[in-house]
Parts: sequence; structure tokens; C-alpha cells
Amino acid sequence: MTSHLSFDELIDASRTHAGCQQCEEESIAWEAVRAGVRQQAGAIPPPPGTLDSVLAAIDQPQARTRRRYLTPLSMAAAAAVLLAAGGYGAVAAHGHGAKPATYEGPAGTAALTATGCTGLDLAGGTLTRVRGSDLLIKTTNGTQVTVATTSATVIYRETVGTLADITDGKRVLVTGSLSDAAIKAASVGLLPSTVTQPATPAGLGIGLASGTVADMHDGGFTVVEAGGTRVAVTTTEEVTVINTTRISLTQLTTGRVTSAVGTAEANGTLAADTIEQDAVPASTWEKLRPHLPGLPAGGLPAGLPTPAKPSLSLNDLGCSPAAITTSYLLADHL
Amino acid sequence: MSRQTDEALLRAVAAGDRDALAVLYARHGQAVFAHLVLVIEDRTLSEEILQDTMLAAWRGAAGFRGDSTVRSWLISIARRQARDRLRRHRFTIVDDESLSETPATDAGPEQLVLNRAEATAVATAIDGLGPVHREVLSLVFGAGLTLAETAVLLQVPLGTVKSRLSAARTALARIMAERGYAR
Repeated sequence: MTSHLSFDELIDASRTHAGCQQCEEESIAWEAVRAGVRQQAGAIPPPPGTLDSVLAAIDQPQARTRRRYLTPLSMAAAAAVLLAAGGYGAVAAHGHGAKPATYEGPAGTAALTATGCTGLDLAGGTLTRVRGSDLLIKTTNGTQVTVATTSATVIYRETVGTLADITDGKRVLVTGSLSDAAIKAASVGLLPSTVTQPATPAGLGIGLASGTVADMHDGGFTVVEAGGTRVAVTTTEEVTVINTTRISLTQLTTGRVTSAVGTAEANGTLAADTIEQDAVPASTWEKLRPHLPGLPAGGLPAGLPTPAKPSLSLNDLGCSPAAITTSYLLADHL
Repeated sequence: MSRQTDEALLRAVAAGDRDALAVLYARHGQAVFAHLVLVIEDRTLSEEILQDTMLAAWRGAAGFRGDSTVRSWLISIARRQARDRLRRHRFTIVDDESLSETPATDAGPEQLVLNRAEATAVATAIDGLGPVHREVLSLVFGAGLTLAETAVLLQVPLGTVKSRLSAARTALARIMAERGYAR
């Protein structure tokens, strides 16, 4: 048995030694072992998002800095939501310097955050571990929260999609720049059906549209907004599509920003109804930053207060658990 | 970039090239992850260790001396990461004393089971092996390392690798026979 060949090569070589019955039997037995190991190993693909998590960890020092800025999708969502709500400075309930909402829950639930929705609490931060059906989330104040899941827990992941994901009837939030009467899209966020569609204020003159996709065609589509206004959107291959899809527990990736909404238990565990994870690479958010829609030239229309610090309330997108988890991820980019 | 050698990619990684790391991951991530799962039998923990391994590779690429293949180097990092993790959990990967490393000297009835075995049956029986045997099979057949590379990685003499392989095969055949796989 030489050490200079791989065992694969040894097996192959031994089969070529015609006339050696023992060699032949040996090679057959080893080949069976090889096939079994390969079948076993081949059935174990690494979970999707692993590399993204590694790259995110590499980016971590910059990521902390980046979160002081607005990303296009979150800025657009925040702007849309806040303007629709009639003001700026709503309570950001999750951290990053914002003061959590007052919460009086069961003993041991201090690490959870009130959502403003009856009976629903949130654990948001970085997913550090998945053990069995439980998750460990490290919140922004450094506290570890245990999140318990069941087969009924719904898990979403926010990922980079493609233009093919945009189809008629999908609910979207588009950011970009105004070009003639159309928005030249920089990003298209596909919203889960459980999220209340954020309204976009009229007359701001910024590249922002929220509504339902219609007339999808090569090079663009139309956004039908809540009031029936139709906004033409043009797209190129450069558009970043942010998609939200259902995944299983085993597809969650540690190291990523994750939010969980459910019911607080007396021991501090959160019994999760919905979990959502941001699996969009940090580099994608970086790429999008120059396309921030910003505020219109000449400032805001009369009557709107000047934003001191735009922020997003956890229940601005509605009180379904999925709306809250989405709000958290959006607000995380603020 | 996808045509570059592993060594060239690792040099690029050392220079801060993220795309090079992505290519290396595409080439070897599956093998490293499969090895971890086969040995540790915990997918979640294996995923964490794989992430730690790639991160360690990013940070330590400049230290690659070229005296092993890149795949072997990555697996050795993964092995160290796994040991650290498992030590914290008071488990051990290797329990040499509990496992026989005596190679089979002849092809008995159990051995003949393997000669007629289908890959699926063998794959299923692998779960019944001890970690030492799963590890050596995974390195040699799963990751495709040479016996010499395996010996260096496991920090054991070459003869030990051979005896472990033989013992693993014997154990595999015995498990299959015990489970009624005989045609």
C-alpha cells in the first residue's frame, strides 16, 4: 500500500492487475466503501448563505460603521412609512442607540422588546447558535435570548433575488432616480404578503414607489400604488432585487442579523411565531448606498416637519408577526 | 480566476481578495462541511465550524507554507476548530482506546458483504462507525487526500492510517452484516 497515491488511485490501479483474484476482491470491497462514503458525503451540501456569513464576518468592523447610514431599501421604507404616518422621529424600538419602548412583561423577559402589538414581543440581533429547535440571538445590548421554535414557526430569509422574481401581482417597494415620468430602479424590494404595504406620499419628487406590480415586461414594469396611481419603473440588469422567501430552520445562518417575534414566556424564552433573517451580503448594501433616493431638491413640502433622526417603529408595517420582523430588519439598516 | 490553482487563490486571499476566497469555498467548502458532519454528526455545529474555518483561512492565508494541499490545509483548520469547540463542550472527537484498529487479515463472511454491497447500504452503515473510523474514511474517500496527507493531518504514522482504514472497513462490514445486509 503506497502512500503517494490517493486511495482512489490505488483502487483504480489494483483493478488493472488482471489475474490477481485477491487484488480484484480487495478492489471491489474498497470500491464499495468509496462509493458509500461518497454517497454519504455528497448528501451533505453546505447550507446556503455560509459564504455570505463568512464575508459578513470579514466586513464586521465596517458593518458596524455602515449601520449609521441609511440603505436604499430601508431608507425608502422608512421614508415611506414615516411620511405616511405623518411624521418623523417615531420610536425605533430595537436599539442602535434608540431607546427601547417601555416594556413591562413577565419576569426574565428584559432582553425582549415590546412591539406595540398586543401579545407580541421581539428578539432582534445576531443569530449565534441553532441548537435543536431553539435559537440563540444576541441582542444589541449583548444579552442572549433563547427563541423556541415549533413546526408552526414561519421562517423567512431576505436575500438577493433576480428580475425574474418580479412578476405581476407582487408587492414591491422601488427606489431609484426619477427619469422623465418614470423611476429608473436601483433597488426593488419584494414584500411578503403579510406586510402592510407602505404608502408613498405624493409630490415629493423622489424616486420611490410602493404598490403592486403590473404590466411586467422586458425593461420595466408598472407599480400600481394604493390610491390607484400608476408609476412607470424602468429596470436594467444592474437593479438589485431584494427577495423574501420561506426557509426551514436548518437554513438559518449564524452570524446574520435575525429577528424573531412571538410570545414571551415567564423564563425569558420567546416562543416564536415568525423569524426573519437578513442574508443580503454587506457588499450589496454597500453597492446600493449611492442610490439613496434622498430628499427632494428644495427640501420637504411645506407642512412636514424636518426630520431630526428618521426612525422606524416596529409596528409601522402592521401588527402581523412577519410585518414586525420585516420592520426590524429594515430599521436595522437605519 | 476560476482557473487559478488553489495556491494562487490562497495568495490572492492573503492579499485581501474576497472573490478568491469565494472560489476556494466553491472548490472545497462541500468537502470540508461533509467531513465535519460525518465526524461530528451535528449539522448546525458543523456549519458554525465551517464558517470559523473559512474565516480562519481568510486571516491565516499568508501563513500557508505550501507543504500540503490547500484542501488538506483547510481540513486541518476545520479539525482544530472542531476540537476547540468540542473541548469546550467536554466532548472528544477521537476515542482511540474504544476502537479497535486491528486490520482484518483475511476476507471472512462479513467482508464478503462489502463485495456485494450497494453504495446506499454502505452509506447508511457509516453512521454506525466510531468517529476515528468515520474520520479516516472521510479524509481518504470523501476529501480524496492521499494516505501520506492523511497521516500528516491526523498526526499519526502512515501505518496507523492504513490500520485504521482496514479496521474501518472491517467494522463497516460487521455493521452491515448485523443489520442483515447479506445477499
